[in-house]
Amino acid sequence: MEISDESSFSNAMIDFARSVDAHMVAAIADIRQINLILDEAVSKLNNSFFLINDSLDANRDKLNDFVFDTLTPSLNSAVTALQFHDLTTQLSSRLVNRLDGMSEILECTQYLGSDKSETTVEVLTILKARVLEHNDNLHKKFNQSLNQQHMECGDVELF
Amino acid sequence: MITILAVDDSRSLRQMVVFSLKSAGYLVVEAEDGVDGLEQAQKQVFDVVLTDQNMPRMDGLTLIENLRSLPEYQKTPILMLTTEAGDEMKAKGRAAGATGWLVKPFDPERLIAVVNKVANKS
Repeated sequence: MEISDESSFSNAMIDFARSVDAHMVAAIADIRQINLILDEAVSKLNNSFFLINDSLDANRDKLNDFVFDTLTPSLNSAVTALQFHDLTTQLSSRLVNRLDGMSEILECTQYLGSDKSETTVEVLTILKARVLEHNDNLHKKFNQSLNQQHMECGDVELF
Repeated sequence: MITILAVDDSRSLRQMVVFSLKSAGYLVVEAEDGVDGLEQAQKQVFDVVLTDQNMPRMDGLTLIENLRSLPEYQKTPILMLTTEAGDEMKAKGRAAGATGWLVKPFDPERLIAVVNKVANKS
């Protein structure tokens, strides 16, 4: 391959990395914004939930058993459903970590082409090593699983 | 009154645990991760411990191992309440000394039933 070909490949790769990285950075910012909105919404939902419950408790003697028994399953369902915040927070944190790592790799790519003596194979080898390193870091960070696909309550097992 | 230590890094999840167990007459103290949980457990002896697994600073398995090394927690029921549902992780929990495993999200009535059962046994 001619030097000029190598150079144009590097330039094309730098452009590609820049544009993909810009999307990654925007995606991370969007996820963080979603988290802020979710945090506030859940905080308000929880507060309302507890206010309703406190009010029901305070007026327990004025409510007949039928009304109270009808409301109890709904309150229990709300408790289960409101746990979506814990699950989605964990998932979005993993997503941000993945995107952050990929963004760092792409950022590095922009500087790889600056050394004109590096061949395409050398550049790709460095990139591959960085991706593998990122994978290792993610495995260390995410030795946990979260496979819930719904908000039905989970299994219980006593040892 | 039976006192329960609820350890979870999610504030909203802790609120739901407190809400559920308080309604059943339990006194619940909150801790935001394993380190905080261990500190609370050393200040006061709890009748039941309920802990999440994945938390910053100290995870649930490490917390259980630390608690089991303390004389006052050798027989205390310790329940895991976590998103983890895999058999491998459950086996690790059992080996660390967990009494039971509850997968999130939890249903308040089932949580109360399990806590009643282990609290009465102990």
